[in-house]
Amino acid sequence: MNTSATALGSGPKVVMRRPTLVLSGLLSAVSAMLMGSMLAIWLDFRSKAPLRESSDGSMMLRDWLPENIKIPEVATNTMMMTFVITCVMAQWAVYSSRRNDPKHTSLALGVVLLTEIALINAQVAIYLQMDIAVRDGSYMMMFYAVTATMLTMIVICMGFTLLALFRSIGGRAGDRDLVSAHALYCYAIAVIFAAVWFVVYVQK
Amino acid sequence: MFSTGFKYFFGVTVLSVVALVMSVALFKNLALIGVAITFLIAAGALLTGLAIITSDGTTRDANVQTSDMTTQSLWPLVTGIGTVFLALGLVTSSIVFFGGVVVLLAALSEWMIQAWSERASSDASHNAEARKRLLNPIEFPVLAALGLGVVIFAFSRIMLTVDKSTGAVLFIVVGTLVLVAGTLFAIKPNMKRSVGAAICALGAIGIIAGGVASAVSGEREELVLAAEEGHFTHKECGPEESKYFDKLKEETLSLRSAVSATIIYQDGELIANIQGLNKPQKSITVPRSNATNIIFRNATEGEFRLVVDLGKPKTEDKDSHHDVDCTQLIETGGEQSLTLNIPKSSSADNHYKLFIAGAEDKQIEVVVP
Amino acid sequence: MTAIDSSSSTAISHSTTAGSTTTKSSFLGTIAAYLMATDHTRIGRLLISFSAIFAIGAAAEGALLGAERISSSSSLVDAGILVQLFSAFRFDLIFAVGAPLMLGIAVAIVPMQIGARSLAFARGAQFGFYLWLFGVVLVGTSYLNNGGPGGGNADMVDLFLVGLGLVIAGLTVISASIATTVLTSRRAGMTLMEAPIFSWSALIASLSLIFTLPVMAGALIFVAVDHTYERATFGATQGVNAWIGWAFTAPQIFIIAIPTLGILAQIVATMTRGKQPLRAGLFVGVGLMSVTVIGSVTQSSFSANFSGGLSEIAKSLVPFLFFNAFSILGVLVVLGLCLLALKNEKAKPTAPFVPAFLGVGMVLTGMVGNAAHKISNFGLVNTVFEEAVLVYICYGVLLSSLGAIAHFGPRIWGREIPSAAVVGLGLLGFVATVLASLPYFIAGFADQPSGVADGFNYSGPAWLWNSLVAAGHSLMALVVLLSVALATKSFRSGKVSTATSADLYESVNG
Repeated sequence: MNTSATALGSGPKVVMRRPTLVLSGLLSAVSAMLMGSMLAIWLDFRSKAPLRESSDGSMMLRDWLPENIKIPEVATNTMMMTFVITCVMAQWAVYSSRRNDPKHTSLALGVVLLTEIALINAQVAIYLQMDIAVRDGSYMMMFYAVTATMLTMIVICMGFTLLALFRSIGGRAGDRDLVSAHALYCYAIAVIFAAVWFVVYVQK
Repeated sequence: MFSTGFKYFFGVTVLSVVALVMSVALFKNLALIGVAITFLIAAGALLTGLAIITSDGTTRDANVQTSDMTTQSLWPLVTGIGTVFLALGLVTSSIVFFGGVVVLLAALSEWMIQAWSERASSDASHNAEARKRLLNPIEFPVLAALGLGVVIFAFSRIMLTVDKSTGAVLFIVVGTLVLVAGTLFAIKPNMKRSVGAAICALGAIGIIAGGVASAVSGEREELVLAAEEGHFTHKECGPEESKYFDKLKEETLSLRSAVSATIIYQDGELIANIQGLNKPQKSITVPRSNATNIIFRNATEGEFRLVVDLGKPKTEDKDSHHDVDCTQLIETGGEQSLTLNIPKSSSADNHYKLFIAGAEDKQIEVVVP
Repeated sequence: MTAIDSSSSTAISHSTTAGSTTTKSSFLGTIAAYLMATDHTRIGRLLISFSAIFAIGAAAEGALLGAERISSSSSLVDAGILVQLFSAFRFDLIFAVGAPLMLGIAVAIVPMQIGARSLAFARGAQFGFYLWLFGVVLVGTSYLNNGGPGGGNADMVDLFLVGLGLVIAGLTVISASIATTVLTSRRAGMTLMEAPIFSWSALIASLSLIFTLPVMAGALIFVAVDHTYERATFGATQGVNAWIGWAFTAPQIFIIAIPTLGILAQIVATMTRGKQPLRAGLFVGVGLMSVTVIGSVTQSSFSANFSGGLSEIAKSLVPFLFFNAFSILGVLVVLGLCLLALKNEKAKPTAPFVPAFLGVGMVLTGMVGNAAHKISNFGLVNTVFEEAVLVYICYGVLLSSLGAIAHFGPRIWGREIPSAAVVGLGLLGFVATVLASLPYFIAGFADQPSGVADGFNYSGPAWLWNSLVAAGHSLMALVVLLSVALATKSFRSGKVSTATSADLYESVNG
């Protein structure tokens, strides 16, 4: 009678050349080109808008952002700061993963997930505070198109985070490739959002 | 020193910079061209850095396995279907969109767990077991609910298409077939699995095919007419018998708890019996915005219905009719319940009352504090 | 060091075994296997098969359009349908035929060339295939219901935009899978420079698509949101072409032709047993062709104008050369080096060389034609000249893919396609391409307008040019049909191939 417990061998050890990191890099490039084209078209429309006098009459402005619309800068700046936190947490996950520390890797990824939810919440708050309808005009339609695309990128990053979190909880905290890839994508969308933030929310 | 990949990405980046400089020098309107090339430079720089970090993915270690064989999977197809529904839902209806979201999330979860389980250990059967242990508790109930839902929906479509007598016969036939199949399974426990599966599959396919055919041909005429004319969607609270509202009237009550008052129409007089009060009343008090049950009992010769006047609705139309609710027309000795849920207090503008249809002078006041 | 890996032999025998196993399994089992396929050869076959079917459809559309333009007094189709047909023809040539065909060949071949057991993200590639297929079906449905750009049914235009988005997403995912495979799954010791030239061209084409398709998607999102809600800012249904039309013309279409250079160079390298002078030059040439990406992402067209002062001429000439000439230079470099290798080794051309060489020739003709089209003084804008450029490029891709299937197919299926048939079909395809496009080069100079089937009048036999074009497209449809039939018959029951896995890629050090 065999009384010994059978310990199964570990899964096939495939040491690959970081395909997930490379794929994440390509995905970042795709996201950058997507948002780049949208911002280019946005700025093209903006540059072709007629000039109007500012409310105090001191300068001429592009008649692009309608006068009655106020952008809630607290929420937008909060989003920008939250992206910084997201990147820091994602890098912490990489740091923990390198040390084969599953608890801290999972914790870091969990915090990243929370910050991503916060980002979505902030974007929804911006929509509610601005209170504009997509059909109201050109600016509104393009505003929703750009910000909704940014939201979609954040949701994709959330999926990435959930995948990394699942792998980490499931016993693969040492899978550095995936965690690094996740961090790279977080950095990429943070930079992309910085461009959106500057063009849409700051420059208006 | 510099890898081929690095050289390529670096070349693209540098040429993009040259293009940008040229554009700045030559073109006035730089918005479209300049911004697009700038993002291309950023993407090129990112991939250049990646090429340096990964050294183009070159390794000299001959023991390193370059890639892994992937097993067949249905989930990319299902994910594709979910994505299509999601995209279609953006231009059609929100039901399609949310359906797509559900399918997409389910497929992505299955895909993710399948990929995880394949690397769980070196034993394929253990990996399959791990996957089953994680997903079967969710998959089986969901699939069963979906399958059952489809069968029930299909059967409902058939019932709505065929006429009533055919529907009754169909019920008997299907029920008999199910009984026969169940008996067969019970008395032949050693029957081949494939035979049982085939019988069940045939039955399901038959019902679903029938459901699809019925859905395509549409509901039977009388139901279409009833929907168009709203036969059963509103109450007709006049003194005359309504063809549809008063059909199959209920004249007895089984549940008598939580009754606020019993309104009796006796000898041409309308009175209210309230629990705790000895004498009949001519007004009742009901709480605001609370469902309150009252029983109407017809103790007078003839068929009568109780109507409650809920005041004028909040519209600018001065000629709008009052909101009313009522019981069905009930015979002598019969009773029905009526539930009142009045959101606003009584006032000069909101005057509520109970009365007999056709005998509006027989009233009981309804007070809502 | 020869770039031969035993794993590729295993892969080939595995594929051959898989092929023979497939023929023995049930029909339903085969369908299920293909539906769930993660084997790169299967995914590649799916892409190539569907592209071939759509190619026949695209050629039929071209023939119908040519026939419609023979005489302005009679019309074969309604005016409303004609608008859809013109747009559908372009879409089919680029997104339903050219791009997926090249990607499909890359998916099937690249892993074996670099010694990988499978694609890096095989399931991702499978997902990309399904996205592309469903997208093409949606786009086709929208065209059939008056929904393409400029269509009259607003809901169907929305469907067109959604379908196009899915097609873009699918092609991007497949490209990402190929690029990741080449960058990370090469066998130990193989640098990118040592990788077979076709794999390098597949990498460059994939990267180029990754850079440019999202730009198209960005414009598409704006147009889609605008059309669904406001219908004014981007010009409603008429504006669809204005904002994404650049993706259906040069230089964007050059990107799908990048792998044709790799196919030709690969076949030549096999013919010369790997003796290729200035092999690095091939890599540079293929890379140069991808410079077209920079022009594409600007979503703009850069023309040259030779009227005016020197500075005016220089201002238009510099960007014109930068955005249009680099890619031509790349093709010339690759062609030149291939011919040099053939001359040095006095190699005997193989059958696949003929369609591959002719394919690159057609691509080059199209690119030169595009450069002429962009010279304002010629007055070729908005004429059928531009349509001819598109046909040259896309039919060049078709010819080249015939060469690729004839060259790589025996190595995968273990059976050969008869050489005479390959050469004959290649030459026939060449004639079809020339017939389908050269007359429109001529008619373009005569100012036959593009996008219309009647109402034009110019000196010259308009009926002749349009008839030749119709005949050319019909002939190309026949060529594709015959090629599919030939390949199917040969790979199932043809002569057993004597080619070894060493023939799959050239020897690096000669």
